[in-house]
Amino acid sequence: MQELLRLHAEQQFIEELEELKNNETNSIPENWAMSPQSVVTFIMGGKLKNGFEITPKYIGNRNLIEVAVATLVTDRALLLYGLPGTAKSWVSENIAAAISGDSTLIVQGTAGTGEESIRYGWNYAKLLAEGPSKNSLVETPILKAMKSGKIARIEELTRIGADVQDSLITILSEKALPIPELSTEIQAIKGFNIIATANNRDKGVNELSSALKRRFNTVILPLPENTETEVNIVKQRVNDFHKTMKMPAEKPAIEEIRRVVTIFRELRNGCTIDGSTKLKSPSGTLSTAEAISVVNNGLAMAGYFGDGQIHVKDLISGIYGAIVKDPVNDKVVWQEYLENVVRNRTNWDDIYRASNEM
Amino acid sequence: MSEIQFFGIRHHGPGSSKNVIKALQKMQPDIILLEGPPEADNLIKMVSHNDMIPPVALLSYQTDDTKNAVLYPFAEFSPEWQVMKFANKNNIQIRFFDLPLIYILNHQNFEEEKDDIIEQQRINDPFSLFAQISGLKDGEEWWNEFIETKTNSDEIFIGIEEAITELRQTFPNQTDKRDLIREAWMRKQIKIAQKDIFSKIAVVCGAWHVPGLKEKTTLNSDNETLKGLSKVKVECTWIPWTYDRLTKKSGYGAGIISPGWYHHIFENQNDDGTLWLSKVANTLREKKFDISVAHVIDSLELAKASALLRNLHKPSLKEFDEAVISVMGFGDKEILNIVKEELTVSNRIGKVPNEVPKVPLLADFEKIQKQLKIPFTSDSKELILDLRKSLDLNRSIFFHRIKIFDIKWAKELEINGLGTFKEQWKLIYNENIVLTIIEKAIWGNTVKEAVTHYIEEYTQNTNTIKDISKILENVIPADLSDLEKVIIQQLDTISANSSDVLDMMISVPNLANIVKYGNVRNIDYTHIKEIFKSLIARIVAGGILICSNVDEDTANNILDNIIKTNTAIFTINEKYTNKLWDNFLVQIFNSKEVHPLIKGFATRLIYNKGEISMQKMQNAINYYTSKANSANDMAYWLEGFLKMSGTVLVVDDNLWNIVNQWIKSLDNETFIILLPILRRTFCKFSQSEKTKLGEKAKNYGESGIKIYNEEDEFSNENSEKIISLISQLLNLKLE
Repeated sequence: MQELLRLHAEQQFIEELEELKNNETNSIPENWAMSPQSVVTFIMGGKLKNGFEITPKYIGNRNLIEVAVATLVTDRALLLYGLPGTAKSWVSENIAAAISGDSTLIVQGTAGTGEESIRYGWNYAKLLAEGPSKNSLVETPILKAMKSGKIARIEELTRIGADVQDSLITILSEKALPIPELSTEIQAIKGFNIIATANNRDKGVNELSSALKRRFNTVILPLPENTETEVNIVKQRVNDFHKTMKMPAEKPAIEEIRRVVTIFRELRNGCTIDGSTKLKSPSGTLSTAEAISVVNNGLAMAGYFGDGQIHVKDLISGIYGAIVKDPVNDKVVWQEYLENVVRNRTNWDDIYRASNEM
Repeated sequence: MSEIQFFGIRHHGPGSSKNVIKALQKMQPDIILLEGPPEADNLIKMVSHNDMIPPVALLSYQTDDTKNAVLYPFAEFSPEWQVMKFANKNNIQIRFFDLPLIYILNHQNFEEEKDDIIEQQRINDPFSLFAQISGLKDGEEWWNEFIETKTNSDEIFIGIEEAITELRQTFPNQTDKRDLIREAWMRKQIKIAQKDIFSKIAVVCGAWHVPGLKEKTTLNSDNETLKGLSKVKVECTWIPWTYDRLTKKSGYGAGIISPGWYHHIFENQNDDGTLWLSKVANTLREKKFDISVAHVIDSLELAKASALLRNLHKPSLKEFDEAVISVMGFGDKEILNIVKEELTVSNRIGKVPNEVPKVPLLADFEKIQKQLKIPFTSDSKELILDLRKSLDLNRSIFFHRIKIFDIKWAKELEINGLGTFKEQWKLIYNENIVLTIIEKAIWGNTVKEAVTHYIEEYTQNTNTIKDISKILENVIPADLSDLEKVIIQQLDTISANSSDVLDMMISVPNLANIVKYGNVRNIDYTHIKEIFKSLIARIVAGGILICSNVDEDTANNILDNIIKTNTAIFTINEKYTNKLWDNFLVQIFNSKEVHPLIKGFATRLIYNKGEISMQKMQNAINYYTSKANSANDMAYWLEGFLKMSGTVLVVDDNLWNIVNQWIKSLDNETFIILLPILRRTFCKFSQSEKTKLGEKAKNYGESGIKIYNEEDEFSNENSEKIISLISQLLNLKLE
């Protein structure tokens, strides 16, 4: 069999999910694969009774994940909200994998997402041949989730046009989807719910109507609290990448990761870590996800074009690319940062040099 | 043998309150021993007074050192409060049986040898261990889940006792020397109660002490522990308190974060959250949030689901808060701040009856109020004081004293055109003022004494000349000469050690005011004048350095201070300082490194003072406006040179001439380059100045404006016109 490029959460962590089910001690809501407590353990990591170690999927505030899972226990839908790259989709995928054992019932929200992607569509060939019938109906992931009592996911909810968004209202409040063409309706069975994600920067694009907003409980996933947390996140994801991609390069030293994270944090916050120097912030978000991809990118550079060990010169173009999104303004930001911060920092002269050689 | 029952409570625990009352009702004791200072025994009966409304606090202080004080705050939901009310209502004897404050407030009694090993063994919160076992976050959560929200009182007290016995065995060093002495005393009191006629004794104390009090010891060994304690004199009284202040640390240990929530669960023990969330919703609606009933239902469901997920039998404030954020706040934590003041903390203020002994400071405050005939009135009131009258002068002194004491009752208003002997004050009263006075009671027994101590301490912690001179300026009208001496001494010490020239410059105007003011008040401030002189000397010595190689913002800041210092020196008008200052300005003029903004200003100052010749002036202006200079430098110099000179330019034809000559000499190209820079300078002049300057420019040279040069002859005719006008203005009779 051909190897897959990326596994779904339920495939990647199949062993962990099995162990959690085997060690279940709490009561399980109907149609859930495990108890809410186990779902939280799956996301946050921990040791099971039989000593099995669950790896953390989300590094951050446990309370947030508890509220998120508790929301799904009630009949309200969950909206994960936050800046790009704060692990919203990742959390949503893993929660869905843990609760339903299936994270694939997903609708990608775009400006072009129509009602037929949310409610149902028609197979026109069959529709012409047979007329409206259950057979000619094309079921959306949401409809499938309703029928099977699973979690459906909607990515980037706020990118979907407001009129289309509102078609979710009936689904979320009545837990039913009428199909007038067939004079019937689909009623959701227990276990069905929706996890949507939306990002802060899209605010105002297609703000949720208050009727729809009311159907969601919102959990804001914040940027990592401190450098340590962020370094941990980057390290873990880079190691995963290293494993799945079978990179020829050695795993990067924690020091390199820390430097990348420090640069990102300082520019994002507009201030050096010690609070002594004010900095300009670039136009991009500089999320943790981007820090991860910079390090991954450096890993690939070092592996295929370098000596197998990750050096500053492998990272610098990635850093530059992540920061300089606007060729005029962001370039000034980066130049100023180089001159005022990087140049004077002990043991950072390699970054300064590499950047000037670029 | 008499029956003794122990009830371990948590201070401020609403559940403990309910449980202990239930247990006492069942037991029907004939005496209650309550953790608290025995000196306050006679204050317990006041708890049931009609005018006594919690939150209130028991304030105890050392009579001859009021700063040494301790507070025991009580809310309606505090177990101790409920126990006192219970005893009063049922006519049961009640005694505070903690170690008397006469010993507690003498801190020497509890000095321990520092032992690092013991320090390390002590952990912050022993209850967090139980929390860990039960999968909860901290000890607070554990208490709420297992003790406060349980209603089966009999088992609970036994359960707590067992748990704490276990903890105290595991951490033998957790209880410090002070607590061990207190426990020995309390054991002794129990034995005394037993010897008295009492047959059913209820002991109510912090849960941690129960195993200690039950320990089997002999009276002799307890006496041994208590031997050699020394005393201080102590007074106690009730004072009003607020829920806001309840959140701070007090004599009963750490403060509580959410008194409003505790109050709610005490009064509504059976509320499953519906009532609480409705209150939240109502508060939010008042603040114009759109919150529907469905929001309340959904929040409640989410809170319950979270509690279930965390294995709690009931949601706590944390779960409700999270639900409110997620459902009502669209994920935004800010929403909690909106309900915090009114609901979670709750802005409740307590009241105490008039019969309660007053804190001496408040009594003194009220006595002065009576003497000066300025009672608290509910509406605000304005007073104009004539300092030549003795009543008004005393009022003014009093207002100034409480002003520096941060009691915000009297506010000084700016007064125009009434001369230095008048002051205007606005009196604004609110309930918090009495509280502030009471809170400040720790500083002394009279207003004068308290203010003196308060400012003394503040002065000792202040180490910039700027702040000290500010304090001094505020203290002088408060007529506290002893305090002035202390501050002047501190000022002397600091100014001798300071090397911050800018700080010195900032303080110079304050000092100049003081020296001036001192003359008015017939107080000798020669010493301050000396300090003033030495400061100027040191500013002059280090001044050039701070003006050199600086950016625009700093230069602007320095210039402001140079202007103020210049005014101050002008006010004092001492030959010595004047000369120093003039030299300094010339130094700036000659220096190459000083920022052009400052140089420009210095150039005009010395020109005004006649320190440099016209020719040098002309050279300077040409030098700074020559093309080789950067446009910025040029602009800065001109800005400094012409700063605040609108009127001068209109009146002083020589200055006008210099500027005019220069502008006329510019060729078109340079003029266009300079135009924006000039505009920047001129736009700061007032409208009328600009109009007059425009007129002058238009008519210059045509309508016969004459330019006087030094060589010109003196005009007797013109002088006479002026002299007669001046003598009229000044009401002088000239021959």
